[in-house]
Amino acid sequence: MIVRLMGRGQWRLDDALIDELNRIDAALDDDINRGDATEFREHLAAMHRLIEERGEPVPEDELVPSDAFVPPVDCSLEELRKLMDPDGLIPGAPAKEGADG
Amino acid sequence: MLKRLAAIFQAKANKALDRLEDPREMLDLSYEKQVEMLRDVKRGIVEVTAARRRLELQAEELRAKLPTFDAQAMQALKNGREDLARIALERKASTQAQIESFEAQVANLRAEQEQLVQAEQRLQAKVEAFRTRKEVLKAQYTAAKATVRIGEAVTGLSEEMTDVGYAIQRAEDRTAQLKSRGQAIQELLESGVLEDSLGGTTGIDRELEALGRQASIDAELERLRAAMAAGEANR
Repeated sequence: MIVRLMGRGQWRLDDALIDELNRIDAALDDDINRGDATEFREHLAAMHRLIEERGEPVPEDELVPSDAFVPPVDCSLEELRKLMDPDGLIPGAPAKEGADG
Repeated sequence: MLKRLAAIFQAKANKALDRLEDPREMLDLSYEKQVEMLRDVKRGIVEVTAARRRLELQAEELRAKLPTFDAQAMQALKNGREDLARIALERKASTQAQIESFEAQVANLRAEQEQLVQAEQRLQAKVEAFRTRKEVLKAQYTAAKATVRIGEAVTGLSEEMTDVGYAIQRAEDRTAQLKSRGQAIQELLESGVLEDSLGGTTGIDRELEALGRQASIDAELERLRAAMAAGEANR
């Protein structure tokens, strides 16, 4: 699985780590829904650690799309909401999917 | 969240993919466009770096103004106005705290921009890799899988581009926020009035100002007296 840490580049993750990644992702979704900024920041930092410590950086000359994007480690809830808004930051983004994130 | 963000960021690249019927044509167009965007990225980084340098200078200028408060406090004490001296020192402490937090944020911005430079270098390497790859892919175009690989290469590069673009926008936003923050501190320093903690201080300001004026008049008088004394001595 290829994961992008936004602004930092891509990492290749072993399949064995996907469960752990999904677990943190679910926790993040929960934090977003509850609007819990503190927990969100902690889970986001944990996710960055998992990827950086146990993933393998994708070489610079390799061109692969990512399966997942992780927001910058200091991304606020508000900033994330803007990122996820289809009419927001990214021009030409698709319509919003379900609220499951 | 992770997959949705990926979908949002990649949508743009896929849109570009759908528009062109011949992927070979798309490879060339895509490359040209990426080279153009890389130039924009470089320009963007130069701009945010310059803006950050201005913020660093501004922080230095603000800090250099702090001794004004000491001078005010000293003057007030000389005139037996401990109350006014206290206010001047309170202002100094409060302004200093604001300047320190401003400096810390400018330092963060610097670290962020260092990452931005790395991102630009990565992007440059990817654009270069794309250039090599596109010729190979064009030659292999008849192979059934080529289209898929072309899609991956384009999406991979475009995704990188969008990501760097976002990082630059982020740095620009922060720079702008800090710029107005710096201006606000500057205005506070210039007016000598610090927010609500010292609400209704106009009278105090007038007194401090009057003390300052008094001091400069005293100094002037002193100078005149000395000049006169020197004149008499010479006579």
